[in-house]
Amino acid sequence: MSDELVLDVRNLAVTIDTPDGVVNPVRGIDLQVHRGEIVGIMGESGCGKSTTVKGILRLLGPNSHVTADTINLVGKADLAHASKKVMESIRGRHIGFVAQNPFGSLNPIYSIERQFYEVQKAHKTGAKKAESREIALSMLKGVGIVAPERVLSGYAHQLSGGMAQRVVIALATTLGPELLFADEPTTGLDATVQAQILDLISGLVRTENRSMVLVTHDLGVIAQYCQRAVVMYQGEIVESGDVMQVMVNPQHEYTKKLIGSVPKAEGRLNVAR
Amino acid sequence: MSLVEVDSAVKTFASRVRGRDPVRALRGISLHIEEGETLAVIGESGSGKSTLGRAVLRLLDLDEGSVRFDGTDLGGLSPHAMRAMRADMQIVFQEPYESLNPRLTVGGIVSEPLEIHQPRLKTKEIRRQVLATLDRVGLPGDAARRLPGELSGGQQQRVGIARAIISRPRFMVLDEPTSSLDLSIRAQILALLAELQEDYKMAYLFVSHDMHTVESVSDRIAVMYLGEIVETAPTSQLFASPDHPYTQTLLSARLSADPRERHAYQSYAGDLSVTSPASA
Repeated sequence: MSDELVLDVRNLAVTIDTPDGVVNPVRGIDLQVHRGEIVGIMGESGCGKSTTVKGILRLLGPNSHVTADTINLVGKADLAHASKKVMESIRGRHIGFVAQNPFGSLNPIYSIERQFYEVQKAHKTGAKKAESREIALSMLKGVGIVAPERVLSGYAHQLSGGMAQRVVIALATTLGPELLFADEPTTGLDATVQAQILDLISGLVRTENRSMVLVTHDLGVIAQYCQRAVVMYQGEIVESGDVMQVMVNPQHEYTKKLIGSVPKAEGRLNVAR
Repeated sequence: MSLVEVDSAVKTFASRVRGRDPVRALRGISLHIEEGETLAVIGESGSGKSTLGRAVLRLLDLDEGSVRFDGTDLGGLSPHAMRAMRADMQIVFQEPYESLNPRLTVGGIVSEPLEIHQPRLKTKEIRRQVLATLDRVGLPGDAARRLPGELSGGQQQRVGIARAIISRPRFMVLDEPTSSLDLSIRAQILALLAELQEDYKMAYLFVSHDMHTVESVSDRIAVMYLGEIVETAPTSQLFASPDHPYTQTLLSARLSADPRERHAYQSYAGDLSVTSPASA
């Protein structure tokens, strides 16, 4: 990890108009990501961790409003004030996004090969079909797929969950974005597959000196794969810092409670209700 | 004699895809569960662990082999006799909301087992027992009038547990009972299940894919892989010195929440390519 900032978010808030009035699911978020590091955002359902990520990427629906002093994708643009067109040129090329459900990210009626080509077309790289195919083959090999030709000519529904998530990671990193957002990328996958996928994406980040924001409710994922941790609770960041410090010596009451909830081997659970 | 005895259980499902090989979900499973004991069955998707949980309760019939409960061969029971037996053997499911009738109130859901197993019980007595059971699982009395959809996930799972324990079973299958719950809620539900087991002297078959959870709840662990139990051992022994290579792989995939404990994943011959029981 270097001191070079890749992303600098200051005072991010999201408001959503609902029939029952305006809600503020996320407030006062400051988030800094440096080159080469993996920052984990952890918290339980409804704490606002996914909304924060979607807010940064400006992927929220039309009834939502994102405000921030800055969402500085350093050297590229201030996402807080970027137009739709600028955002579209940034997502995929400079920022990759891996969502929880790979089958929600993949198009069910396009072959995998065509989806790689769509990425090239959308960003006007000028790559022709044959070239896109070569790139896709090497990307799929890079994510540990043994028979990439077969996967390319197939469709999403023919893949297992672990294979589909590998394909999504390959797609998200095709254009070599410096920053990757992964929102619960392994939730719902088997433990052995989870370990392989996380080893894979953290390896991609490390070897190519990229950066990643990893959103998860799984404290094991934070402890084992992230250098810094951000703890969210009820729409706000309650604690952040080096992973060793946050996980081993938590300061905030909520973090302590969360870490105390991890099932332990020593005797039967003894948790106050 | 053990409370539950499974002997050489075999179950094969025809594949839904035409022309594809049948799925051999259980390939000769034998196990036993003692009174008051928790046996955890751990395995990944497709290992057959949920099929095993259902077979033990005779929610599905075996192709071969037998399940004995308290010495009685369940396969030989008439539907009527099987129904009477069910008061003693209950189940808690993974998805609390999916397992509760959305049109019934919580009181209606929890009273159903009593209405089935003790049809002569007076309405007033049923009501008394329902309220006592709701209280026992940590739900307020006014929850009885609510619909499941008005409750949080953790509360819904408490309703599922109340429904399971109201007939005072001696044995429960817990099929991933905390997998869809947040961490802090999960800890509460696991603590509740441990208390209930202590109070009512129940035996549990705890089906799970989560090593952290089974480590904290079980006396013994059976590891399933592609329809077979590859290893059974007391919990501390299994974690300290896993015998089978697949168990070693599972343990290496555990991610400790303590960053000082580093993990290094070691793959198993099967891995991604062979995790489907159909292709094995």
